[in-house]
Amino acid sequence: MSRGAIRFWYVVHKWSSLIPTLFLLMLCITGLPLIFHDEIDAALGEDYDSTLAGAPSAEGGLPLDTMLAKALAERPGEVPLFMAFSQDSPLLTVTTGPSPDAPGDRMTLLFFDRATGDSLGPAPSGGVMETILQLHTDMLLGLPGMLFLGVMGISFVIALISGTVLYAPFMRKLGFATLRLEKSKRVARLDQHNMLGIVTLAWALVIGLTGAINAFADPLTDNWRDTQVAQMTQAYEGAAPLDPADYGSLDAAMASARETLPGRNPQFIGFPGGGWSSAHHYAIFFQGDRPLTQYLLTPALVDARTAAVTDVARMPAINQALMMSKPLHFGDYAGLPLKIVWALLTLATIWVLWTGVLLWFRRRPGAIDRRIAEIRSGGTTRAPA
Amino acid sequence: MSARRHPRSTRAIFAWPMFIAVLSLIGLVAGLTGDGARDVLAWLLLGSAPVTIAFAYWRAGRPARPINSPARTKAPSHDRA
Repeated sequence: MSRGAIRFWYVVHKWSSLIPTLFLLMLCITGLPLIFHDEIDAALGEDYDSTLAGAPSAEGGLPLDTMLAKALAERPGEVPLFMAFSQDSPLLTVTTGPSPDAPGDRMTLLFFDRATGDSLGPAPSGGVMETILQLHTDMLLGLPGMLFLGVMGISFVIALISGTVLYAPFMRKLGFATLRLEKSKRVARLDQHNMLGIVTLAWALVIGLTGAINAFADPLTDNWRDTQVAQMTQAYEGAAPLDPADYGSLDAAMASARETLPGRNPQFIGFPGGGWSSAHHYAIFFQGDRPLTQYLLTPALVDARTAAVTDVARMPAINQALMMSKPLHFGDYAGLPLKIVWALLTLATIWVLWTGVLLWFRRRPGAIDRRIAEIRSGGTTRAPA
Repeated sequence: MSARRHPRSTRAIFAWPMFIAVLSLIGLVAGLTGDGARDVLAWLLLGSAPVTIAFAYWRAGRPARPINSPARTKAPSHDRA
């Protein structure tokens, strides 16, 4: 590789990694506890999924109408907004509010056990894991923060690619996984940076790409949902909104939706008049039954009065691909051993980032030519870099 | 496996990294597409990366390298960055 080419890739690598470094370190550090969120939630007693015994609420239990009546009895005068199901336990949540279009801060989230019908009280608020997740997703800044972190993810991918290009000239005279820890500190850092970077490359590329995809896919999915629901309910456009008193049986609606979409479990129901449905429908959002398909939402709009299925929407292929890549980012789809591997790889990435910062920081002015010489020689040049 | 006299080809340089990358990717997808045996496959294949890292550090810290052993304790000061 020519000096000019190395210089180009060195500059790309330097800036594409320096700019997102702080954010990537934050993402790694907040990501570590998130890998183990199931275990941590269970230890903190915030995880009903692991403490309630019985069939998953998405599959069966007491009638939905019974559960809804219990929820409304706890919140007299209010209307139902959402009902959400668990795929792992009898936990069932009902969201109520003063009116069908109530804003988020007027909503109440109630927890129930669908196997016994017991009320578990209001949802535990927030919790430390929730805050960590928010930091990791958008730094508590909402959509702009999310998109910003998405851009940092893309920069990370560019850093990985340029780093791989530079790996070749550096390693010309070195064997794979050479670690010269007893030479200078600089050579030790270079070798560790290169070895850890190249060994974790495939995993880091997947994490960076799926992280960026997640940041950009959620707004896309919201957009798809809004336009799709509007299209599906055009026939009802002129009709007056359905009065909550006239809502028909949820169980009948669920039965006809399941008949249309066999083999799938519901994730949640959007009640009429809310942002996730029309003014006349129960919008039942079904999900796939495997890790690969669990993020593929298929909404069935069921007439809330007659329980007849009005329409079923399938996600466009592009949204499907985006949503299917989601679990690849989390590493929580194949049991505890995979999570431990995920955590080890995250620690290795932190060390790559840190040694990278030190390699950039501990330098003298006008060092770029020495850097290029260093990359070309595999770090064996005697000149102090 | 430290400094070599003859430069290695690009293919040789990327042989091990590509092998580990392919194992990792198969592991990632295996865990996603099924349970049970596929999960175990995911652990083993993706685990190849941390195992390689552990091996590299173990080999680097191993005292049985005659050329380096006299100067093991500290790098000479002129060599420092």
